[in-house]
Amino acid sequence: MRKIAIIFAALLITAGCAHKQVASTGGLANEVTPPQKASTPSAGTGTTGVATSSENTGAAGQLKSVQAQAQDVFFDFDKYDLKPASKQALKDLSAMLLKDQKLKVAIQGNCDERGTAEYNLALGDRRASAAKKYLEALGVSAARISTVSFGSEKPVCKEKTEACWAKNRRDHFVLSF
Amino acid sequence: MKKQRKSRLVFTLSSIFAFIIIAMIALAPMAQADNIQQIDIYAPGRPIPIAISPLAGLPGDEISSVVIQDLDATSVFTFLDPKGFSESPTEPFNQADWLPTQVVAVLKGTASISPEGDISATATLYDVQSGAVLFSKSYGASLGMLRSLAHDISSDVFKQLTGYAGPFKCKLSYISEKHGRKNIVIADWDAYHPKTLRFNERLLMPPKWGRDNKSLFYSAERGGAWGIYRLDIAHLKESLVFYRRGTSLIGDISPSGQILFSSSYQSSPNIYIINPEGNGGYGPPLKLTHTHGINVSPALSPDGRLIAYVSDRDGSPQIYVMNTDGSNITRVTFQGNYNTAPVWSPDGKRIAFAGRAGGGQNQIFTVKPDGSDLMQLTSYGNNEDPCFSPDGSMIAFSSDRNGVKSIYIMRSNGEGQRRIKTANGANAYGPRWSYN
Repeated sequence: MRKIAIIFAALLITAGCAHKQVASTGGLANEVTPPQKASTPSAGTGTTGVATSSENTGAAGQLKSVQAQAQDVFFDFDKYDLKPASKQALKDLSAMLLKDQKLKVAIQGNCDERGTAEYNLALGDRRASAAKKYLEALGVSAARISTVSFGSEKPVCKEKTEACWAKNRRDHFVLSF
Repeated sequence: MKKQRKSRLVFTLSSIFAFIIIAMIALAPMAQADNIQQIDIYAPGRPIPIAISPLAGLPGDEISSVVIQDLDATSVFTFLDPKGFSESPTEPFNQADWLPTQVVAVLKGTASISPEGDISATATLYDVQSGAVLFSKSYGASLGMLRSLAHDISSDVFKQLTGYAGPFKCKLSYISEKHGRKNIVIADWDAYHPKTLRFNERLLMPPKWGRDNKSLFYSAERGGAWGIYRLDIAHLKESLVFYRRGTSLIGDISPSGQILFSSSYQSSPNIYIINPEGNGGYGPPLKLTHTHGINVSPALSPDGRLIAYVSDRDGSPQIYVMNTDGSNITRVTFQGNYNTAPVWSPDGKRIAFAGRAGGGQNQIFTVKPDGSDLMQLTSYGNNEDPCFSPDGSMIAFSSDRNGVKSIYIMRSNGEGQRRIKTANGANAYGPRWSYN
């Protein structure tokens, strides 16, 4: 297991290391192309296990169905402990994961904009991690769960109201085969 | 052929020699200026009136206007309207012309452009009360570097009058964001001459300067994890510093190239340090904090002995200081329940940070590392990302006080807050001035 993790990390590092092609457009703007987009999965999923087009439509339909059932869980300001409602949502999610052993989940931890950016990334990390630990406690293998923090960088709601901030303090779950 | 090269070398050497002599002559009057009292920029009071006479010669007006722009941005000075000058730029300084104007000091000089486009200038700063020369220097720059030459003059004037070198010769880095897409921008100290590095990423954090000013370090989420990257600015080439699963965020870079960062790759976010190895890589991470909560944003003190960082070990994010081996943890902030983003003043006497204040908004504070003498510097809007200029005279920060997240500067006591100009229609935040 540990070996796999190391190989996985090494692969990512190799991908990330690929030296970048830099094109200068002249004038004031210089183009810097970030490391191979190939190492980055499709924007917003934050997982390396996105369903591919080779999956048959039945699987795609099944995925759509389980994705629709995976409810976001929400947090209080500056908190990363799971509320009772969140635990229930995670129990439902774990049932789906335990039923279909091929399913994987990527947990995306998010924060509202009121904190500061760097701390929010750490907070989002903890929020995703809290859900991961709970799923593990419910019997889901750690290998099937990945986490990523989006901090306050990807708000779903952009108004400066408590109702809106509350929507952004969430774990979002992206399922894949 | 060989001979020609030699004679050119001799010519070069003799011009350097001549320059040294000129410089020595120029420096001579400075000795007598030592007893001129410097302005205490932290003492409350009205701005100091000075006169910047356009340098005589073709690019003189442009150079002087940049000098005025630089010095004006510090909010330390007011400038005498040129209509009030009774002395033309080409006339020699005459104390009697300036005594009635109340200005403390007068800058005069010359400027010219060679047929090849090289700019040269001289600048002399006079003390009006005594009539003494405070400094007199020559400057040179290639075509297109006019602002840079002007920044040199601004720096000399500011240093002479305040004792601080000012931020004028620094570069400024920040993030520019439009429609959620983020790019790194490198500009002059005052956001002029912006150069956009097109990352076009959604998950990219503001960069921090390497101590040699040749590289930027930043964190970005790619491939499912936040890693730390280094950009060689001259070659626009990126290399990987640290990448594991979880969230790894650059904190600070020591003078010897050690990387201080936070990472959740083992469990919860803790502070780590890695040492550079000769091959451009890094040694194994050394863990400095050991709590199950959040430890993030490490900043190394200027003397290299302490690390300021943020931890929620007592229940809410607060600033702490520890030794560089992780020992002797002491809490710095006690007021409020959300204090983050610490940076050290270059003299190590204060820590600036963003703290949640009344109204639930973040404000810029400074405090002594022992927790005493807390000062709130901002009060309108959300104010975050404080950063000192390398001479300690100023702080840059981000604020949304005018609706759009923009970059502001102020004196490090909070006076003279003003926005500096970044691209319209884009958020700008996370400013960092380069080292001197």
